[in-house]
Amino acid sequence: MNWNAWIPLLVIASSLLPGLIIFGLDEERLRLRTSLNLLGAVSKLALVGLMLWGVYYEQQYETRLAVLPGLELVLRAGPLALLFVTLSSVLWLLTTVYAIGYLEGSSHRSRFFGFFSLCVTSTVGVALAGNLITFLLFYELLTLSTYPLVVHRGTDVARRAGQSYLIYTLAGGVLLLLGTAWLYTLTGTLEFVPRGFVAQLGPEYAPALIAIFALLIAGLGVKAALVPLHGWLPQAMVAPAPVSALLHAVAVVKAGAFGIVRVVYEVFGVEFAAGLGVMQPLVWLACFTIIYGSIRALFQDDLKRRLAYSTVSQVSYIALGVGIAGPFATVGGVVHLVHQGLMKITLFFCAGNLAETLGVHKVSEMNGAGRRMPWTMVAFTIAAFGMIGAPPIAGFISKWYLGLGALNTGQDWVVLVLAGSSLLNAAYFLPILHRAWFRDPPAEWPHEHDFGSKETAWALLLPPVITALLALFAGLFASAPFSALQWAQLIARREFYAP
Amino acid sequence: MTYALSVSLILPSVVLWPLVVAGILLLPGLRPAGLALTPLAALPALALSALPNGELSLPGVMLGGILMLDATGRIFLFLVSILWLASSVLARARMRAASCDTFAIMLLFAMAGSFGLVLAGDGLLFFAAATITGYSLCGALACATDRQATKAGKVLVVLLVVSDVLIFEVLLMLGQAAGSVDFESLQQAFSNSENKNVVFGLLLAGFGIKIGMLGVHFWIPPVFATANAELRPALVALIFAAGLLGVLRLTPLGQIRAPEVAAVLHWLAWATLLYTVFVGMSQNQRRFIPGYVAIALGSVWLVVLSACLQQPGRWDSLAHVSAAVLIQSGAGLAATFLMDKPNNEGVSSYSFRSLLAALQWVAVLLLGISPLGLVWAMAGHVSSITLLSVMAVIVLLGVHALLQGDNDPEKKPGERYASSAAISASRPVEFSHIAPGVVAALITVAILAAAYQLYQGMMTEAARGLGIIALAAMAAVLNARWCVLRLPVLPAGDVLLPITRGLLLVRVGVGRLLARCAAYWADITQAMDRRRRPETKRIDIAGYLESLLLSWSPALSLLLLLGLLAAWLAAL
Repeated sequence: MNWNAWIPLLVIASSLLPGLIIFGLDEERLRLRTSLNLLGAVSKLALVGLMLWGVYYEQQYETRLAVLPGLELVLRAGPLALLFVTLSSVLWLLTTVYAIGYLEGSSHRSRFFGFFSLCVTSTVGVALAGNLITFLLFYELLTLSTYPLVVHRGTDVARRAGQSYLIYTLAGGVLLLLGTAWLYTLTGTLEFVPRGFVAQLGPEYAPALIAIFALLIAGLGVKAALVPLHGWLPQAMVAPAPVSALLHAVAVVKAGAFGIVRVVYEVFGVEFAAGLGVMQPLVWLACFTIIYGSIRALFQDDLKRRLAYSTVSQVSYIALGVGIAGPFATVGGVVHLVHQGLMKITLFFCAGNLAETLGVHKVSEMNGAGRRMPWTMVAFTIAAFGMIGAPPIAGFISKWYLGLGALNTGQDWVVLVLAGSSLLNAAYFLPILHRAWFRDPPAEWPHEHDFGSKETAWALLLPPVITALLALFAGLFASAPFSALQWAQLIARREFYAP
Repeated sequence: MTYALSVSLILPSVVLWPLVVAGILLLPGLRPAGLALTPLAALPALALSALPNGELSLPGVMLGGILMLDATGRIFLFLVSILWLASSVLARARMRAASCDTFAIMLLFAMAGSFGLVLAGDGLLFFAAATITGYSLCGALACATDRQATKAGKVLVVLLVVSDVLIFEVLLMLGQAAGSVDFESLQQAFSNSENKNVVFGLLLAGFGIKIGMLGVHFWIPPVFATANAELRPALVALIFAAGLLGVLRLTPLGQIRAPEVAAVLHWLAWATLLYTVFVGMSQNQRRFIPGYVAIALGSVWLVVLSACLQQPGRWDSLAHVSAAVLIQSGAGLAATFLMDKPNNEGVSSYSFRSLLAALQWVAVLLLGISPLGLVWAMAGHVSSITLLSVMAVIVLLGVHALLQGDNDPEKKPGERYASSAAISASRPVEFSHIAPGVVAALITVAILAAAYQLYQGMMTEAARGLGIIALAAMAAVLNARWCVLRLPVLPAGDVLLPITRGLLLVRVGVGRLLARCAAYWADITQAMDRRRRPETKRIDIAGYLESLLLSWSPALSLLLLLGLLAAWLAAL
């Protein structure tokens, strides 16, 4: 193996090894644990930066490890994989900083950070997977490593949420496994190829392929929270804020959505999938989920629950872009992977800050929060406007490309869904902003912590401000080199729609 | 060339300067400096309007942004910077209060957005600037402690969201057809579009909200009536820069002929006039009236659009004249909106009050005669008669506002008007009350008619038309006021607001009806009733279904069903 072949392994190891060491650390070893966390996150980021540069100049980064005869564990850093890996690595660093501040003084921190690192390892594995079996392996590891994080608080509610999370995701994994095995018996390969590998099969296999497609999408749809497989997500918001942020913006939900992209483009191939007639149902399902999630969010008073339903809605933009197909919609869907991550993690960080600093958990308790925590609410405002799709924030760029894609493929009605979604997003985000900025604060907050002259701890404040700025810059400088949009266009050009 | 290059480089600084001032204001040690700089934040923009054309390409910004200063932009920049100068000077006193940082930041963001609107050279940058301006102004409105202002701000926010969604659709349609988002390409795509009427519909509805077009105008009276004085010129800037300029930037005037749309717009202009006369003259509080003047003024642009869509060749001559009309009407409108300011400030000096009163009359007159140039340019066309009618209506409403005297502090304008009996008792219908307005309108019309004859030699027909319109307007006003005062209750600010409330009531009613019919009605009604009647317990069907999804058996059944579905598909 040359050096380039080692780098994907090193990226996996950069979070796996610190995670394993952290498991063995005593609770009191705060400094060492923090150092290991940050060292892992920074080294992963550096390695990813190296690969980004290399992939841009068409270098290959691929690791192959034989597991069984005919089956290899493949890690490959293509443009699509790197988009997700970069998102995970950047947000992992910020979430780690946030989690250090958030969990200060609480118990079981070694367990938390150990699983936290494993979770990111699994996510990066999902992103770098070069074939369906590797993907499946890391996908299941992700389920197992996030479960302890969901039930971290150890309350009855948390355990119930964890139980439903486990039922859903494991059952989804079973469907995915069934689909994968069936596919392997038909094709004899599971290697991801830019335009898919099932197109080699003749038309007589079409019914079986449709069934396999349904199994794979159902299996992935559980994590991507497609309705009606989304039930676990609003429950899982009982987890601590950094976990919620990770689940909604980086790891679980995104792994499902990313898997859908992989299956459509690199297993079936977009033209072949369209020929099978499976894309239109995916579009309908995504549109239904977008509207359903937004309507449900509208009537939630619990802030994190409202954000959870918002995730249900927003993640389906990715499935929508995939389903519409065509270069514009693909770019819109793929770039939303990053944009939604940046905006949603900001919102969850802010929700965590409000809960941790003021004891505010409900929208109805947020009156005057902007005066008490201006920077937190500035970050929240930017992310909320981005979710609505207001320019120049990142969400607008996603919606623009999805809209263009819909018009280009003659599916004009999808534009109405996007417009309806924007209106609904405005309806559930703007009242929050109005309360926070323009209503008088209460005489006493539900459970206020004293941070002196600061609005909250630096570790809690910096991550949301940074992610909000990233969301703003991702939209404002969308055409700048190495922006998420430019990278998504590179993916579409180089992998999915290469001439 | 070097000169043009330096102009190009100045373009972004004009937009960024208010943001820099906002940053200075935020720094505790530099706050006094920020306060001192705020009134000057619009000065670079004003200076730029005197410089020659320039363009700056910003390839990394959004989808390839362009900033430009062209002939149209220069006129709007001049107007907008004047209006913002007025706003920021007026706002200085309020900003000194330590608690007004949010207000100051919102105001400066809105200012930056306004300049961005004028200097944007592509659709997306324009849209982004419009969003920043609109929501920042809403934020500034919401900073008011007055509950009515906050309510009015909410109406504006809702309409802005709807407007932005519609504009997004227009931009998407044109952008998809053009393959680019610069204004020239978008206009070209509009010209070649097969769905011109759809694009026109979306465009007019989207930008119409910001202009205050009839039907979607109902934010204007309550917002202007309740907004603090310092915000009113800025709101006028919003109307012109985010509304009118948007239409001008996207519509290929002079290249496109759409007689059906032109006819609709012309009738809409007349409907606007009738509406503003009836409703505007029925207002019994001064501060609500200028809102109707603004709505009436909007019909000027509807007439211009209509004329150009009917005869594209007219655009060149109208564009030339429109510059002066634009500046005069914008400045006049802002002055009209500030009419109640001297009264509120409690000016004691008699001579100063007299001077201010004279200025108010001048403002109304200036506003009233602002479309004159367009009348000349459209000589012999039916549109000129419509424009003269607009002028008459503006003067009538303006004079009506001036004669209303001071705002009555005992009334609660945002709530509901007093009953007809109370109005009749306090302000009986008197011809002496309305006559000066009518006389002023007639004098204005006579001056116009004279000017019209002097320049065009078409006195006979025009004067006949004007006479009829003036008489009709007078009769309409007198009768309208008489009728309106006998109506049981008039809504706050505008008659369309209770319609929206009515719709809400209908929605609640329908929801309740359905809730009775079906026990498992959605949780929407429950959420709406939560605050009103906490004891209400309705089963939340969506929540109920989701709770089913959380238990083992239904979840597994669902997945099993999926498996069966897959097997069935495989068997096909």
